[in-house]
Amino acid sequence: MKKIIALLLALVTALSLVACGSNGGDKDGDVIKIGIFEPTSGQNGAGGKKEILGIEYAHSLKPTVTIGGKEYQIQLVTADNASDASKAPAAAQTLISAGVSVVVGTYGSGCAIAAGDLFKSARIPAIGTSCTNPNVTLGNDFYFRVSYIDPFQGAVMANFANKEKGSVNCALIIESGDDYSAGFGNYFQKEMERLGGKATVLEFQKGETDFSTIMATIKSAGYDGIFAPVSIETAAMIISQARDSGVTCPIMAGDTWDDISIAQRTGDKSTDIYFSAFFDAADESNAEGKAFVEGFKKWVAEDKTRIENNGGTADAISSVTPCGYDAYMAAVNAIEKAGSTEGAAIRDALAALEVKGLVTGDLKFDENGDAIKTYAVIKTIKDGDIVYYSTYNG
Amino acid sequence: MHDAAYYIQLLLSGVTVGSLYALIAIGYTMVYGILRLINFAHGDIFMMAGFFMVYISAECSLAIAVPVVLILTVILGVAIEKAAYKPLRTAPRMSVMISAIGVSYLLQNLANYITGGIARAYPDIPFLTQVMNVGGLNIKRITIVTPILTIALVAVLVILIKKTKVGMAMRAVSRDFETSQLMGIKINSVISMTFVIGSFLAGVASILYFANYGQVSPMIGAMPGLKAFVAAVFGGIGSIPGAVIGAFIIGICESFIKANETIAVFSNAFTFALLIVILLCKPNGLFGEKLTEKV
Repeated sequence: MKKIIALLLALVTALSLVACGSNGGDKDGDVIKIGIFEPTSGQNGAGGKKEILGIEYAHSLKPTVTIGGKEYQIQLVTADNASDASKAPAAAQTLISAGVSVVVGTYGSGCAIAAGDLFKSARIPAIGTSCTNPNVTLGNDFYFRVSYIDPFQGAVMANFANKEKGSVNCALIIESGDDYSAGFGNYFQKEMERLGGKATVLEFQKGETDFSTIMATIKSAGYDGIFAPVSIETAAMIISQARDSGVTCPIMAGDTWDDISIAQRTGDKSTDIYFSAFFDAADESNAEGKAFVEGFKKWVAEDKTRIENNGGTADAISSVTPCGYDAYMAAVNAIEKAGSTEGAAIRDALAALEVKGLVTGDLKFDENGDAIKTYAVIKTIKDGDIVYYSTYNG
Repeated sequence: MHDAAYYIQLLLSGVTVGSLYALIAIGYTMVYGILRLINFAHGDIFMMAGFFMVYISAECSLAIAVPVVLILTVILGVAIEKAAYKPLRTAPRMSVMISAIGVSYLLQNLANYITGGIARAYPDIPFLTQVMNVGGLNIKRITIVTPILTIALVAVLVILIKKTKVGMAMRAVSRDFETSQLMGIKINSVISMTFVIGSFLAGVASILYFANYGQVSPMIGAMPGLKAFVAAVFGGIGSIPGAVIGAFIIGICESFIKANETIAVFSNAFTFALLIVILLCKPNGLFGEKLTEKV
């Protein structure tokens, strides 16, 4: 009896897999698939979800694309890379197997680098959203990126720390083994030293929750600034533990911190926090940006899940959301220009692409596949909300 | 180059972290003592207790939420035992252990599914998180409360095991499972009691731990769980004072290693290297019984 049950169970499992497989491939006629390669869980899950919102919003505005006079429905396929470089290749493989023509994402450079070679060998172009490490696109013809990169961001923040905040002896809190954290921290340190300041590296390990020893060191050694290019989850812990241990110096970081959940979790402990961002929702001078902000807020408010994924509010816009939007629009433009669903053709179209009037400005890729950007916003946290602080335009 | 206050701060961090490991380690060590089972799901029970608090405190006040969370955690622990371990009582030990690993993954993925995979803010418990300034040191009240509470709970537990009838039954079961069954001890209720105590302490640990760090995520149970497991092995698995002392040693060593910039990245490596060394040199741990069996 047991044997029969076991056999039956095995059969059911196998059949359900087969059923899953055939479902996807049936109506391939007028559909083109765009893969979303983002973390929806793990340390940067909150950020990944906000990028996906940007992509989905863009998709709601432009759900079809015309290739060779024929209209194609765009189907989004999502794979969760779990904010983990060791899980990213499996997620990338899922997208490749699903037959996507182009990939959009991801939040977090570690995952982008881990999956880059897979996309390259599958000849599927990927458009990075907010993965800012230069190595994402370097030496990979198939990876592009719509955001600015860490050498630029590192220099912006080092200048800001050194000149505006007078932090000349900074503590650099780095997650060891993380491509984003180490890379960005390194560019910050180089620029800081060029300006005559100092940045001392204090490392912690992935999954660490206790920063009280690092804070004790910072207090004892008398550092006058903290630069912490770390994940969203770690950010909240660093901020609250710093203030609890009586460390009062400015805490600075990069694009990852533009997430309302950090402000929500740290409450009144978020004082003297500054970070660079891609986009400022309150900036009225950018017409495209303004239209995006208005449309996006309305779109988020329509649905409970969207509000939840946006951090429990329809009013906040993280600057990674427009990155998702822009990357999707770049993908659609490239597909149209290539006139093909073939990955290689879309890649060539991307390399020569020029799009005016995207949310984070005009888009054109340099020879590495990086968007040419000279603009960054510096934001701060005030009364539990993220607000604009200053603009960097170089 | 650093002053005395700095080293006191490090010691305090170490003692706090150590006491939290100790509370979790007791759950490992008691279950092992009685069932000869390493309950891999224990770290995830700790994580689930954190999520219980997040969801329950959203509905009612802390004074109600804390006991409710502890009760739910105990129910979860006992339910896991009844569902995943009891049917395998006569099966080879390896099967039970694999079942434990299965439960661990089940809980992690369940939490991942329910929460959507991102960290949730833990409710603020003002009594614990208030910062006091003592002689130039900024100390959270939790730093003082945690070790005191841990030692008090362990003292109560030791008295329970040494002086009460249930405790005597537990000792008997851990000495010889089958003989004590023949002597009329109700094995199942003793085992349930073990899970009640272990889960209760994991629940207490989760409140102290997450109140200190402010957020819960589905995978957060893994690391403290592993460290507590090492502490239990280090102290001699099966021995409660051993687990507590092992946990304090690991907590304090980690704290000092993390503070040193050049070796900070080896803090986890240190803990697990310690596990290897202990298993090679003194497999029974510091206070372990001579006749512990390997799993």
